[in-house]
Amino acid sequence: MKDLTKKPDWLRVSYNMSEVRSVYDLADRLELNTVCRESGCPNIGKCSKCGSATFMILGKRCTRNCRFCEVDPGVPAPPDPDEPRRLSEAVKTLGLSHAVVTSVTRDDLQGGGASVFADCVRAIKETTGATVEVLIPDLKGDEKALDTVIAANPEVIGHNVETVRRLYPAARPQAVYERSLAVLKYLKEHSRGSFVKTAFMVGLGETEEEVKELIRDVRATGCDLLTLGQYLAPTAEHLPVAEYVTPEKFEEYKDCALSLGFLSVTAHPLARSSYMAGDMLREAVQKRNETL
Amino acid sequence: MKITVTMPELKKGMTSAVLCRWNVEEGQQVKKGFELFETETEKAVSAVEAEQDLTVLRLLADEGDEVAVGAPLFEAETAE
Repeated sequence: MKDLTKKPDWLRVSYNMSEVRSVYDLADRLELNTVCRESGCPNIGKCSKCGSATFMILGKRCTRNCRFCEVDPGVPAPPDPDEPRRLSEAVKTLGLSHAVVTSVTRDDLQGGGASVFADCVRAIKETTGATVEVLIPDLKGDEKALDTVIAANPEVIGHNVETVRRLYPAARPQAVYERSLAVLKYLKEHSRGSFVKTAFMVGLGETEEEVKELIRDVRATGCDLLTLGQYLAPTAEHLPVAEYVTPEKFEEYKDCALSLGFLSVTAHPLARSSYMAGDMLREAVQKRNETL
Repeated sequence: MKITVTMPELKKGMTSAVLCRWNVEEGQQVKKGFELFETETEKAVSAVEAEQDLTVLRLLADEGDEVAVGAPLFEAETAE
């Protein structure tokens, strides 16, 4: 039996609380949520050192209840029509060159909140010079909703598959593996130059073969960018960590993904969906330009 | 100026954390950014950096102690 009570050396992070508070204070002043704080991201110290944050729109209560996620489930508040403006102000104030915007899942809204994503992309692009990456829920696979996001033309559209097919019922009971793949495929086939991105976690009990199957399935959708990181249980009430995957194994998965044609892959125990997102976009742009 | 450094809230809902390790001792002068101590939260071992240059005066918790958020960890002297 593996001892999972002691954190491996590679799960070590550092915080400068004045830098963290600086980002929190801005978000609080503008009444914005960050996924950094709501999901208890271990990279807060690193990202706040760069004055960076990933904003979470459409409230901080999620209509789904994924068993790995720290964001609170519940009944969310109605969308705030002023949120895109405040979000663009935050991006401007932080001086972000690449803004990442995600949301809680809003199954209660028509289109899942796609129009708010689109409004946020446009607001950021109109008022700042930042490139924009959106990380969207599956929007129940609603093609009209996906078209709404695509039409805003963010540089990157992401949707996370999160885990291997077998673990969906335990980890994402309200999601469907095939639907998430279909969303990625639709985004790739209909986007107007946006890169398509996904992310998943390891350490939930999947096998190596299942991980490689997932990488192949995702790549078969045409997805361009991939991030994978270690699952870390937010509390004892969430799914337990089954394994701490070594950095060497992450490298192996990265090599596997790159050999299949992904333009950029970030694979690291502490990697999260938006980890080094600007660097991944730059690498993808460079590789795409080289092939033109 | 004499200050008391307390256990920070490193993540949402955190009420306390185990002080895993001191990286400083009483009388030690450190620069801003120096990693003062390590705590463990559910997700990671977290090192907390000095927010400014300071001299550690007195440690108020022992390694292995569970320290509540906001409870004193050490006293220090700063230039400002």
